[in-house]
Amino acid sequence: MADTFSHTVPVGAPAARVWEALQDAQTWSNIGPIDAVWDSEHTADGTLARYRWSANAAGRSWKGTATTAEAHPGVRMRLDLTSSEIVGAIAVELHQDFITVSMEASPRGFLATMFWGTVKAALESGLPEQVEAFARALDGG
Amino acid sequence: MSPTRAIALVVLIGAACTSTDPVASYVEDLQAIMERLTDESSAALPPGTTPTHDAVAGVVAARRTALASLEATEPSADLAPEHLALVVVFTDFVEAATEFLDETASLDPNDFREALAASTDIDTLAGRVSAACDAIRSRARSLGHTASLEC
Repeated sequence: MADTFSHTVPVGAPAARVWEALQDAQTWSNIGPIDAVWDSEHTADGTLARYRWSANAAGRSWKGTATTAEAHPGVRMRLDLTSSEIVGAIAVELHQDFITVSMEASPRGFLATMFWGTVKAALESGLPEQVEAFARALDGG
Repeated sequence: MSPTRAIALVVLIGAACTSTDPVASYVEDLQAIMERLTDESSAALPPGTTPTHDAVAGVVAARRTALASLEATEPSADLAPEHLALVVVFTDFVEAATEFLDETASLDPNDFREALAASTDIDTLAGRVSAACDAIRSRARSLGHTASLEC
């Protein structure tokens, strides 16, 4: 069973602009625990298909892959996250004046389970500020 | 203010600063147990260090200590069912971790690290521990208390 966290923020940017930003893999380095992305791939219509990522939380780091699982333009985008020690998903739902970012995460393997309490707390406490910063960037702040 | 009134005021302030609410007291105890678990686990296996059998055994020992503390903690009546659920699943978790350590005791360092990576049976138990902690947080919140639990 995955742990889930979410945060909603108002955004002034139109949904089309938010959607466009979400197709840039670098955008995702500012959402959730992901601090770097690389090796992104897009489908023929320009939809972000996958990228590799690294993340840090509670003093521990991971590298993994994100794969687009849902892409409904202007409405919702969800990527599945996999790595050797953490699995989950991150989704952005777009509304007229706000966005909601949701994250699912669960540990994989013995070591990750031993430190999951700390990592989970870091993910949960960090998400609001990360999403707020993402919204400020979208609004040009 | 008379000396008597000043003393009475100090006594009142002191009483207010000490949790007499059983829910608050339980939440404080639980937070302390989990903070100690985090500190001891990180001390046994600092971030970035290679996980040896001894180091991981230290992490599991910290869990065993936390379990003993949980079992010795008297929950408030309002949180007793949630506390019992946490103790039950935490016990299962510690037993599974101990079993893993026993099974891997004779492995060389490389094989041990591979066994760590391949061991995903315990993932479900970790999810149940997490859910049990969430249930305590949720119940405490409904009772007007915020619990920050790293578990």
